[in-house]
Amino acid sequence: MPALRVEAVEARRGGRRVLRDVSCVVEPGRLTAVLGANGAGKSTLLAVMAGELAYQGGRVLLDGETLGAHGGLEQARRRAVLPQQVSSGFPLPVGAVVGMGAYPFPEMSQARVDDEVQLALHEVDLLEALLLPYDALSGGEQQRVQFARVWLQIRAAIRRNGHAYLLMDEPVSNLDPRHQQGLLRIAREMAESGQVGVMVILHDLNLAARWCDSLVLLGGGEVLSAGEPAKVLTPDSLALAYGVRPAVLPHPRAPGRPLVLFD
Amino acid sequence: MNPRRRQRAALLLLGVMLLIAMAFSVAGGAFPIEAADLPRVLLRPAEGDELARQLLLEVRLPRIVLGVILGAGLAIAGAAMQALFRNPLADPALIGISSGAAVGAVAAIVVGGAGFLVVAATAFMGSLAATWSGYLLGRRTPGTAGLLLAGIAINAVCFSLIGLFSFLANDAQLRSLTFWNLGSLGQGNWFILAWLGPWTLILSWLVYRRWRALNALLIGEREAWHLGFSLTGLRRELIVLVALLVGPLVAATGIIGFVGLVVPHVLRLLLGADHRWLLPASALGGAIALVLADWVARIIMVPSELPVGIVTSLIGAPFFLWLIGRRPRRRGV
Repeated sequence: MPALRVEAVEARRGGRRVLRDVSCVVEPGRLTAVLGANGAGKSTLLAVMAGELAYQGGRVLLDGETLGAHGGLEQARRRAVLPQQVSSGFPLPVGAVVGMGAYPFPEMSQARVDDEVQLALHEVDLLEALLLPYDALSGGEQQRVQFARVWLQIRAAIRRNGHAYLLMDEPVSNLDPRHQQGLLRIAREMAESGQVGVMVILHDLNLAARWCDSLVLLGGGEVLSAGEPAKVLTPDSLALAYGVRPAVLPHPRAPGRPLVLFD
Repeated sequence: MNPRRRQRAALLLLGVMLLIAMAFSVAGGAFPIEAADLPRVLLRPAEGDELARQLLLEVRLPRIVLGVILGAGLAIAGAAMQALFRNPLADPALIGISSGAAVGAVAAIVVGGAGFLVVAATAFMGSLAATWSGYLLGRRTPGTAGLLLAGIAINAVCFSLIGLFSFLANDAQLRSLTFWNLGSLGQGNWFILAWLGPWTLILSWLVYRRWRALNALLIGEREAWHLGFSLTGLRRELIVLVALLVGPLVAATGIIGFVGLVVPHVLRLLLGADHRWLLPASALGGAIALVLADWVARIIMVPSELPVGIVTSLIGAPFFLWLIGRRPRRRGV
């Protein structure tokens, strides 16, 4: 069973222990959100899963093998990472940035890459930006271009392995509601195809509740609660995670899903 | 227009411009030769052409070819360093690669009037030592700032060593050191070119093969890792390649600044930062810049000539100032 699995991982940043004994799993077919207050260890967990940050205890398994055994290129051929904000002081054309998603797959022909770049930009509603310099775009548009890049990488990974993993760090923070929905809908469709396991760090609890299959609530470097949205998003566990107590109501438009209201 | 067609057209245009610049440069100088006469003098010399023919073959062509090689090599090294440091102000001279090479070369000149191959080898060792210590020192502070600070420190060490060797040199050596310090293409001869040409070509190609990695670095070091490039390996490879590229060039011509900074920068504004096109365009642009600078150096004060390093600095340094002034304020270096 393919999965990106974190088992009892402990990780430090600058000498401080940020994760202690964290376990979670990203499986093809599921959209999982990671939630938690500032400093809870969300980005550190993502860095560990992306092979960026060495961990001290436990292990991370990508399709049954540790990240170290895969090496950097093989990881890139199996998973894509969407960071929070990507800026470049250099005038790169948008098409070149999106085309980077094909870098781990040098076997792809140039014509193929060109086609995929167009499809990817069409997917994020930015086809008209193909030739513009990346720097000239707004923060939200840059975020969508980066999403197009990982979308391309994920498609190439699926063609090679039959499945892939997508890790995203607050991908909707700069987006307007329409494009927030648009991006999460694409992520949702990727997961529903059964081929992609998606993990996404979100600050907006209601977006997480509305779009995700399962949630992981982090606090103090540990998993406070994990499972279906209705199980995780309770006033008690949220009060524990955030230090303020919300009201949790049934979602008026999505039966079975909660709606969280902070004062 | 299809962007790829536009880039190809730009490369073609730069190639044509290089040929024109070379023709100008061959014709100009203390002993002017009509550009229209060039084919005749070179291919079917008539009577009275002997002097012109000898001047062309022994003096002018070698220095122009040296200018082409040097300009191409420096511009490629500059473009690669700018991507590695994610800083459009990075330059082989800035991070100590050139001055390290200079220490090696000066040492060889002062210790014993060595031939080109020895000077090139010591220059390479000097540039590798400088880059390597820059790399080791810079690693202690993560990110770009550490490497840049290390570069400043290494430059200080190198220039004090160059000063020490100059102090130890005798008069004849001192004159050749001074000339060399200012940068000149005057030492170009076919023997040097037979080594330097293929060497520069091979190393430029090895840098060019990494265009994907260089592009990925432009959007970030983490992002480059996410796309499968090992940062430690990549850094090490690029630094060694650039040291190998720059060392022998410095040995042949002295320190010629700003070409590696200005040329990639201008071409990036015109063509975009995609290294697939930027690297070959920089090679051509660097060659054009140096051939023209050398031409100016030769015709501006006839019958004597200015060291070409002074010309590139006079043009490049104000550009550098303008560049710093117009840079938007950003976090970090």
